[in-house]
Amino acid sequence: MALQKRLIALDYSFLLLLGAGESQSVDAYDRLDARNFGFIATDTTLQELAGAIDTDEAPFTGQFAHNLIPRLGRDFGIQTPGHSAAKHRIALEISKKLRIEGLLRDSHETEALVIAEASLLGCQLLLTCALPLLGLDSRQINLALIESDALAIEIVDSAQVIRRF
Amino acid sequence: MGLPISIEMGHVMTKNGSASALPNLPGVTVEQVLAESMAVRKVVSSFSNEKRDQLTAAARALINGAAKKTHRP
Repeated sequence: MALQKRLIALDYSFLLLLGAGESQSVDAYDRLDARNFGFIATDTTLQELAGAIDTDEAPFTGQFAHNLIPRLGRDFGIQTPGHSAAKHRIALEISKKLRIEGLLRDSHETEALVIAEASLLGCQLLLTCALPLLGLDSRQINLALIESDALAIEIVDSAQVIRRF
Repeated sequence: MGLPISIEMGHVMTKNGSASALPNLPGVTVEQVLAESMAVRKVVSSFSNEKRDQLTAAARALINGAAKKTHRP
């Protein structure tokens, strides 16, 4: 029987640096790829990539982020499974719960959604370079996820991946 | 000579500008990429569900287009 791949969600900040060829991000990706992890980009991450070009907030990376989308699967083997409407509603409820319970500090709504989506897609890890995400209390978040019948997920950065794998 | 990139509290930090050069984004630093990613995240958070659905659809169209190209002989 074939072993099921362990899944890791890659968030917007990490994908930008990976696509740009930043050495730590590339190293972390290569190590996980060698360990046969499956890579996932959630719908919210796709929205951030696609939305970057519509804003004046990304003069250096807007077009680059947009152009990165076709490369996700082609160059990096990243799956974009998405959610059914029902699962999406559950992800919204979980992200709302995380925010209402104050577990996200000053993180944005989309960060709560990425956590919920990745958990519901069965990801064990969420790889990010975003300080707001990395500074969260993952134990409390995981308790809230488990309470919501979702899976616990560890939020990690490239350096942690490189040290461990 | 550029100094190596160091990691402090999980954030990619650079000791000078040359260390943060990105091969596929010439002239842009890691710090600029991260700052913009946070700014875009904030903007997308403010979008309506309808607008976000449109972005998802646009992204999926790009992904599907890429898949077709890959499989074309």
